[in-house]
Amino acid sequence: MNTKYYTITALNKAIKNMFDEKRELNNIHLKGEISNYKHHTRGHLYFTLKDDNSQLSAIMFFSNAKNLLFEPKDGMKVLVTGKVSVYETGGTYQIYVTEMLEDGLGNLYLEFEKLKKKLADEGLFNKEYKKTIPRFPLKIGIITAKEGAAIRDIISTIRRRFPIAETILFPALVQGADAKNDIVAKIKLANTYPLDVIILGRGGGSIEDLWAFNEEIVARAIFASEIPIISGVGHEIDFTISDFVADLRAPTPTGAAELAVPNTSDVISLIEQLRIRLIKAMNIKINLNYEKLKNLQNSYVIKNPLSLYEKLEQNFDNLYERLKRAINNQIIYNNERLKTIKGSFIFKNPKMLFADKAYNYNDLIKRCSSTIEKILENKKNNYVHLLGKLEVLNPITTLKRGYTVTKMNDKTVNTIKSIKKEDVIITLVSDGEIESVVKNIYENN
Amino acid sequence: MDKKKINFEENIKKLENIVHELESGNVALDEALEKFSEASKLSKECDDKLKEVSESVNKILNADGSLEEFKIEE
Repeated sequence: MNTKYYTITALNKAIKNMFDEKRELNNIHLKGEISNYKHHTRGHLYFTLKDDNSQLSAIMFFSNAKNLLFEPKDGMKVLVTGKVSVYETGGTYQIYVTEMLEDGLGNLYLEFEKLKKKLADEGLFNKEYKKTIPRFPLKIGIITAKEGAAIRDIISTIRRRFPIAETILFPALVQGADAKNDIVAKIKLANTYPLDVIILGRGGGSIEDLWAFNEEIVARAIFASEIPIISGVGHEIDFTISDFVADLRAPTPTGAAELAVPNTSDVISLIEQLRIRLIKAMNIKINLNYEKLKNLQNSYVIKNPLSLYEKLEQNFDNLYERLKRAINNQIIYNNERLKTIKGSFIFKNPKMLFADKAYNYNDLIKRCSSTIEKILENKKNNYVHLLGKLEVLNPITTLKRGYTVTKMNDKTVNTIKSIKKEDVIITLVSDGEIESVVKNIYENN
Repeated sequence: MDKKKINFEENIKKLENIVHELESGNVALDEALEKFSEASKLSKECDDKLKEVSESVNKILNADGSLEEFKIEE
């Protein structure tokens, strides 16, 4: 008998090697439901992953389990990453889990990152679109749930810090499937009120609870708001898409109220400071002007006002002399011109201006009448010529010469083809008509 | 003067502008005096508004569009 018997250990070791050589098994992603969950006192987690038909043992060592963001429970759907290998001692294979997320949640994270990137690429988070938050808002819109800590925190913070500010609450659903549409509607509604700023808030909760604030339509409504919006959603660590697109992000609803309004005492001391500076600036101004006034009062002119007058007197004399001289020069010049004109030849022989004009007139008359006579002569000749032509063409004249015109039925007969035997024809002669019956017709040759 | 209609934001801004202008010293005396009295008025208005003793006004918008007082337990 040469049959070889292996030990169990050897077999399990060999099978383990087979598993470990499969690269796909070394880093595998699985989804399933947790059952038989045990949290060992030393910190390791033991559980079973299953779906409708199969199950798989799972272990998560403390070194990985300490990073979990949630407390696993039986029935919870999860997404795990790990290595499938063999537990030699038990002869079982199992998954050694390194990372585990709540199922659905994993998708939410992906959606969040995708939307964040999309909106960032579109520029919705850009600084240049952030509206300035007024420093002293007197009318504040609040969009949050009517019940709960958030609205209480916001209102009590505003009352404590800046009680002269009025608030209007636009109650909104802040979780659940209808929340996103309700928040969008309330942002639009709030924009129809004369508000200085809007606080968009919600208390803490799970990522699903806060999800409405990660919806694209909510982000776009915040972006489109004409009134600046301060977001305060969840706790310090929670960042939502709304926070990125809002004009100002506060870590919590209380924080949002603190950013929205100043402390009354700070404002009072600001005004006091401004008043002090105002008075100081005014004092400086008055002192400067007083100094100026004193300087002017001490000036030579003020002390010797007549000196101003003396100078003007001298100027006046000077100008008066120049004026007198200029007028005399003008009179002399004009007298000279008058003399020259009086002595000129034309002035003494004014008829010279008309002599050649009279000659031109007579000549023009002569030329006109001879042209008119020529035109009349031409017209007369034309008339006589046309009269002769007319005489030649007159048909009566032709008839007088012995020619006749033959008609039948009022139509002139030009050819034998238009008549036949026994037709009655009319012959026109110079002094009357002849009615005849056709006896014969002969064609020329 | 209707105190509710004071634009706090604008008044403080105007006040600050006047203070800056006067501090710069580039204002003629007549104008400076005018601005000084305007600024004094503005600061008094803002101050009065802040010190006005009144209950803070908190309202809620009802579904029917009406506004009513909103009370919270503190």
